[in-house]
Amino acid sequence: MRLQFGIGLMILCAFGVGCAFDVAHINSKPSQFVPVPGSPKQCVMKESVEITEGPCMYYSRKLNKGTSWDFIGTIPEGEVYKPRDQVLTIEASHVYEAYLVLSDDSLVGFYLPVERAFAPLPNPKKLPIELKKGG
Amino acid sequence: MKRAVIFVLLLLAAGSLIGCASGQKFTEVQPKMVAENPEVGRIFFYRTSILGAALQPAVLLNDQTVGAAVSQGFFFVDRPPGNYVVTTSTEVERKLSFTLDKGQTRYIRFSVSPGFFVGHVYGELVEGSVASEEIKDCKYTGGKKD
Repeated sequence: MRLQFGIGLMILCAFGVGCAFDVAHINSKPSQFVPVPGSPKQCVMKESVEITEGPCMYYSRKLNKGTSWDFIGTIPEGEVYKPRDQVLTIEASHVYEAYLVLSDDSLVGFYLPVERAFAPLPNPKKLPIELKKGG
Repeated sequence: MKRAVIFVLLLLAAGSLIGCASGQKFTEVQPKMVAENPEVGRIFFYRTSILGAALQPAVLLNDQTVGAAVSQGFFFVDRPPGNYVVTTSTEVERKLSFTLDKGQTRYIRFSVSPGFFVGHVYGELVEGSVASEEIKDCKYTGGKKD
């Protein structure tokens, strides 16, 4: 009887594990993107930055020193910067390309261009950036 | 006993080779890294690892099959600028969304993660500097050469 119970429990656990494959989601909401033509400014990362808190569990990403990010538009949450020389993605069950969303030199979250959504950081993070004229 | 172990190991080795790409190497094909038509972008798909080589799911680009994720294989397609979603399915579906600009080249690398019954094949967006090194030993599995 105990053996049967044990086997039943194992099967239930196994199905539970199986279900977990698709439950890691990004915390995001739709956002209205307003493009700015011509990338009038860009920011350059003065130091490498590790982002360890993100819009999903176990998020970790490094913004590389010296990378340039073009200001391409705004959303209500801040200014959107597209990477020029670094690939940035957010990963959960699926993988999404992401752009930085800055407000007062702080990273407040990510803009997902394909999903047209904003994925906020739990806490804004001040970035060591230098703003330059774009074009 | 020893013979049985060797036999099993040989079977496993043969099995992993069967799943690998067998076309021309990237360095022999020497595809252009950017699309010839400046109005479109080029997307390279490749898979370096032989882990789970028997798994070769179809690669869907915006719901249209463009190839298969074959171990040590690569292929590419040219597409107009826009939003794209790459989908691969084994026991679960994995998606990667990204944008493509005019004249841009994007690199999608497929990897395998452990699954419940079978592994999961998923795509990652890779930087050009990394991808151009990794793709060198892959073999062409597509139909079109430029």
